Amino acid sequence: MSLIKRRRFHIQPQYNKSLTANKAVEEATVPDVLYFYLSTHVGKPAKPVVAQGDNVKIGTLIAKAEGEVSSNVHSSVSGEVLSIENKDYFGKDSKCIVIKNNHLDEAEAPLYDINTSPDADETVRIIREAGISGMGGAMFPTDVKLSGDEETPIETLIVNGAECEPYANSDYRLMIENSEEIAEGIKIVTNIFPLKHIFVAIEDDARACITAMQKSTDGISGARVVALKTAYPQGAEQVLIKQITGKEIPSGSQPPAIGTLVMNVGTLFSIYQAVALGKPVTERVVTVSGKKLKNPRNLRTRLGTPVDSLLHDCGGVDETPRAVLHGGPMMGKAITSGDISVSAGTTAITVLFGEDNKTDEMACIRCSECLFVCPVKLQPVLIHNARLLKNYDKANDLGALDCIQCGNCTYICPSKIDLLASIRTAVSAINEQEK
Amino acid sequence: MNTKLIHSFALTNEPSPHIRSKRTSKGIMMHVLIALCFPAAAAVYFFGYRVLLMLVVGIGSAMLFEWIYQKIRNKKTTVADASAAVTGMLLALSLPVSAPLWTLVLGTAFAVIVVKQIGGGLGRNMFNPAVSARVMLKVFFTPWITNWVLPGVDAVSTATPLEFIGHGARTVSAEVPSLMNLFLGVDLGGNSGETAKLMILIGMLYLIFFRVISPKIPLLCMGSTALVMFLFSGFNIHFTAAHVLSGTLIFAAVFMVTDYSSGPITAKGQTIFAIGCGVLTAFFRIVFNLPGGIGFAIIIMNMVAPWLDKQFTPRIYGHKKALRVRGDREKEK
Repeated sequence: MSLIKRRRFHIQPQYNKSLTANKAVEEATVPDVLYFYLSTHVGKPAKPVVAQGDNVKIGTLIAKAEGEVSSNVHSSVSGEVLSIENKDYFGKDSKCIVIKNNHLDEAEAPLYDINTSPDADETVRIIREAGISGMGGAMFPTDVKLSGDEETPIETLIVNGAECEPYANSDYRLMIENSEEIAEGIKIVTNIFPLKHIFVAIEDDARACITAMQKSTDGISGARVVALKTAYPQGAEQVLIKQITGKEIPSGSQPPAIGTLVMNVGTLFSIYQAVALGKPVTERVVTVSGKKLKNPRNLRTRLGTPVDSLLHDCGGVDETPRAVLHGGPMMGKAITSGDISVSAGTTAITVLFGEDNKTDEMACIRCSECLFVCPVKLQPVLIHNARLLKNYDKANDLGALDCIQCGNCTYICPSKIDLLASIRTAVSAINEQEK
Repeated sequence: MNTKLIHSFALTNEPSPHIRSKRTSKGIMMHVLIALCFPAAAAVYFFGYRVLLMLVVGIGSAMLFEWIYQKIRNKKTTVADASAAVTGMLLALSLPVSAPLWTLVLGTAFAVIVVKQIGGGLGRNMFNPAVSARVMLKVFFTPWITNWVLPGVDAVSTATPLEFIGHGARTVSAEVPSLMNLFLGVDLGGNSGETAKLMILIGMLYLIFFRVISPKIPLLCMGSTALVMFLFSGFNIHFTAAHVLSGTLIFAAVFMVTDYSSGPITAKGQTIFAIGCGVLTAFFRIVFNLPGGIGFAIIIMNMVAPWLDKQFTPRIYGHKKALRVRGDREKEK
């Protein structure tokens, strides 16, 4: 909690991390049927390269990246393709490859001959082959990030270990249990770009991670661990870059435009697995947590595992939850179907109970809190007012398009106005107008 | 794994974020009411039980007028949000204990119906309701609401210290009570809630502690009045302190300048707003010997507040300059 009322650019919600923080990662049950959605990443959906009835192994390419910004999808089990269907994936129609697991766990050969040492271009190609995209949840294809910027050389890498979503501990556990592999992943990136600075950003309450990462990155030149205040949205790349380098990403650009890369620790772990071991992304750590969940756990989960299976692994619930979320409570999406499955960007499955302070909306009292907590210095209530008047030009002038959707404004509003919902409406109206 | 867990729940497809802070707008109003209890308690102590009667009438009439107005206009009644109660309590404490009850009721009617509701409703009114009502009463009903009395059963008429140190005076004359009496409100005439500075400051600490107000607003307001007085008096610390501790300054700086609705929402706008209120108060005191000058200062700054917000539109992340916001379409029509 902030001690006084002032502009602070963050919120400090109840973190509820202790539910799973000290629980070592365990293997999730590998289910009989898995669902691989082909548009979980940013960019074009992947295109299926298998057909119904095909046999697959762990690591078999089942859908191929389509176009430059896209991502490969691999099977995480051995078995048979049951069907390829269109399913709803959080409100959009997505192709989904359904695979029946034969529980034999046969694996494909490595992505490439791992006894050779790939050069920079080859490394990026392997990463693309492995289907790696941002594992902090954003799912931006990593190889696109690694193609850098045409004008600005990449000199700074920020390793994102600031896991600011409440409940989530997947990065926390990974940094404790796999700090060496993450460090190897960092070294692979230093082979692609001659980096001057490497900052490992971790929230200051994750002391075990700070110690582990300090130890593992000790030998990497230019690397140091930065302890950040524990607050939300500390792990948003805009916030990380500003706090650590003092620079801002120009509006409408990506971090490479200012010579900076931001990569999640899970992504670096996957880069290590792809480049050092030749393994594509087929599993990740998922925190399954909730206050009334019987046994909250951190689970190493095969991609494609349906959420239902994970809830069973955690003993289920006695009480009907209000929401089951793909991700954390701040930015996670509400799941309404048990077929929604774990993707590379599934950091957590969060089960919420009760009302969580959603009382009736009342008029804005102009307390300024939404302005004070916005990490990108918007005036959310003014965008909301402009949206109510359908004045989208004004909403645009007020910077609606610069919103990073962190949800701080809606969280903090004492009048319980869903400001972010208004901003989203304004953003889609502005985009519609500009078409 | 036969049962589909999720399919057995009726889950809402709500957008993120899925959690909200505990704080509510009603809770904020309740905090303000509690903070006002500190000066209110002092007022009862110094001026007697009639203050209690005034508080009941002030709060009750303000809530009643809001309810009646909203019933007549077929609007949702929002009396329960306690904002009308805050207005009523503020006004009751900004009148002397000798003020007739009808002035108080007239004041709350003006504050709630004209300034707040006709002014746009909660959060949309341009002027601070309690301050406007105070100024309105001051302008039209001066004889009834400026009969300053000293604490005590005899209700002896008295002058307020500002009458000796305002209007161009540069030194503290002998008639002015000691600084300690000014601070505690002992043997001091004035509006019932404004005399006990210590209790007001405790209320301020309460509001700061519960993050209802930003400390910079009251401190900058009082500080800027102090600075002007310090310079004007040729660095006379006693004179400066007497000014800060006299009149409505501290009460208004804590409970009125900090009003959300009628002030700016940008951080820098709030800074200028608070300083503006303080400087104008000093100016009115020096030039016009105007008791209640801070009321006029706040009204003037209320008018400037929307302009301040436009001037201090924050520079959005990733932009070189603050964006120019095109005018409101509804105003251009």
